[in-house]
Amino acid sequence: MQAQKPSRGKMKSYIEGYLFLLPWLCGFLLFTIWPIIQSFLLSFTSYDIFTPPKFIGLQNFVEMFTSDRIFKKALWVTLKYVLMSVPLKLCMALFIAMILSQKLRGIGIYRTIYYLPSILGASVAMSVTWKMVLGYDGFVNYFLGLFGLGPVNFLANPSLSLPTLAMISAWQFGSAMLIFLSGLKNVPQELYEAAEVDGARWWKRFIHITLPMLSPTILFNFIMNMIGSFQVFTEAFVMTRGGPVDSTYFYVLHLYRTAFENFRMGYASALAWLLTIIIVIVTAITFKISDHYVYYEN
Amino acid sequence: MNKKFLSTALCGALALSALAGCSSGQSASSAPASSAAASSAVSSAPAESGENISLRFMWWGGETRHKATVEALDLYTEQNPGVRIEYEYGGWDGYFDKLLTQLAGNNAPDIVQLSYTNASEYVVRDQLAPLDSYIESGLLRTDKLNQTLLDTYKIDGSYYAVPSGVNVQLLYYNQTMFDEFGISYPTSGMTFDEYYAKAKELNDAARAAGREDIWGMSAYTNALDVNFQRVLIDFGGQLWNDDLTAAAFNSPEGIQAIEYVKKPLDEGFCPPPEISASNPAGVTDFALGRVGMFIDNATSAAGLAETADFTLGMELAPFGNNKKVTWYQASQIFVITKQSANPEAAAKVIDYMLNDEAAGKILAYERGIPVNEDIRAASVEGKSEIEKKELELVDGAAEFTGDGVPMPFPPGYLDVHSEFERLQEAVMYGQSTPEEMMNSLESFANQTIGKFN
Repeated sequence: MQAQKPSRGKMKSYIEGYLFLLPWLCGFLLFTIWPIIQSFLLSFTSYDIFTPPKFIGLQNFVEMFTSDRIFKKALWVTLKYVLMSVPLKLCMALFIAMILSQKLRGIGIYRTIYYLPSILGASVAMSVTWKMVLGYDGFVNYFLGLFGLGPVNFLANPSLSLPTLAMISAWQFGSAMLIFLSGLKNVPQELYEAAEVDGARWWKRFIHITLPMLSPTILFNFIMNMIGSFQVFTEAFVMTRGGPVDSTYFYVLHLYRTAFENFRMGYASALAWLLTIIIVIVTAITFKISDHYVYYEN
Repeated sequence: MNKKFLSTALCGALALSALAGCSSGQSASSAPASSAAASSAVSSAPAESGENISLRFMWWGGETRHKATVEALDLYTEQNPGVRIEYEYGGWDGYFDKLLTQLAGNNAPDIVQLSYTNASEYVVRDQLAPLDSYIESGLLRTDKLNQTLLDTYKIDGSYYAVPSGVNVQLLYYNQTMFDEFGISYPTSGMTFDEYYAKAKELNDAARAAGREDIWGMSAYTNALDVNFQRVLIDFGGQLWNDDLTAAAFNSPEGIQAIEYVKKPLDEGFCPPPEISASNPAGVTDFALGRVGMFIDNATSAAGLAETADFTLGMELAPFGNNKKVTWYQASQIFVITKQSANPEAAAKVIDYMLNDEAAGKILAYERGIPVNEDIRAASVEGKSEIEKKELELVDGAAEFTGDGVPMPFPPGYLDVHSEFERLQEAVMYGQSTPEEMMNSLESFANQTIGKFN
């Protein structure tokens, strides 16, 4: 393609286009880009809201790695959570998507039902509900009790709390599921037919046709969910408050407390930027690795 | 910073013009002040005196507290035409975030209700107005208030806050459970040891009856300034050094205190932390009927009585083995922000909230037992049985006070408070020792307090 000077008519429609975009663009610049720039600048300062920010260079970043008691712990807990929650959620989403891609009567209704949890999402109300359901006297333990099991302290046992939160996150598989569904629709049927003629069983077809053909979708879902999981907050904030014994002390929870409980906005901005950098690096690595595993048809 | 400068300049200009308006008595020169007031939500009747003061009052609470406070403030504005009070109220969640935003935006309310622990946070950041001149001039009368309580808020020689109500720790017990196992009720004036023995007795009786799901008492954890400080003083230690510049709790007494708090857990007569931590947010083991006894603030009485599905009993909390470590503490506090353009008017409103008879009647026990002793004495009329008992106990607590005086709060206290809870949790879960906890907390506390010196 060669760059061309737009004609006058085209120019006019560009302007119109941008005019239509303007309301959104203003909001984006004002409420997203501007705060991002500010937080970047603040990350090199010491700022407690009441007194003007004081430039301290890289001191915030140095503190993270030297004297912050929580930083490394929070980063490690978050990393473990990402490693647990992302694969769990993707498997769940793919599994349900495969079931829902069957041609059944009323499949639209099933799809809606399975999407519902994602609408409820990681809200405070849902977190409160989960806490009750999983409590010592909660429904799950009542149910286990019927079989003579438990009670299990899902959220109050330091070694169970993190896996429990990861399981809860898998419950919101809806958007990943929808993307898988559309991906499944795009797998050419003739591949399956050919495989069937060759006598391939369903799991052979799954491994040799579905997975490779779906790999770009898997990569997309993986990256999106990973970015989301790094920023996990509400569940820990509401259900466990970072406990028991720091077992769910997530990075963003540390960030929140630094900013809004200790009034350290500069340091919190630095924490936020470090998380951004970590996410960018991990995403880049994922892309690099994906070259060997992801199959693009064209 | 331009914006901040601009708003500071504007505020200054407003204050100046308001002063000019007062001294010259010309209504024309006070125009800017009234235009500032016009931005508030409440519409005003023109004041007869020409004085037109607008105040903002911010608090948190539940529905009943809101209703009572609004009613009391409305009565005040009725009696004081020319003063208008704008209310800003909400729940506890997000309250301090909102206050922070307003303070940062130079848009803070005049009168603010704060938690009894966090005045010093705002003092070190230079956000609160000292109250000494109003107390001296009698605008804000404190002669009927408890002096020890008042002195808790003396920071660097100045008073910055007044208590909104009185609180004391009570021992709540599940009468139904005690009846079931035929154990005699706990009484006021027990020592900690007697309290533990009572808990163990109940616990043993429950186990003997085959009940594995109930315990004698709740763990006496958390609340560095109250629970821990009481046990610490009882063992002869103290929280901070005398000028509040460093921690003093990392002592043999401090470690003994932590071990003493953990004893019921070690001996199995309080529920393990795994069970307590799995309760729904804000619901205690006691409210769930899982433990026989529980120590909490007197302000919890009404709420507990309302929700408990067992007969609630209450007495004074145990007072110590070696010393009388009972004390009155504030339920919340009132402060005036430095940004207030009318601190004198604000002081008068606070005085009214604490010392006015009619206000006392309306506010009832919404912020703890009234802090003014006359109003407290008059308040018993028409109260429920629980409230009468609550009042009786709070009055009776005086008998067990004396040896223990809580120390004021050093700057950065809240951070140390939450770190204490975090570290104590690890001890209760058996993942850390009292010695490790005290070492770690001491270095954290000194580092935190040191930032302000």
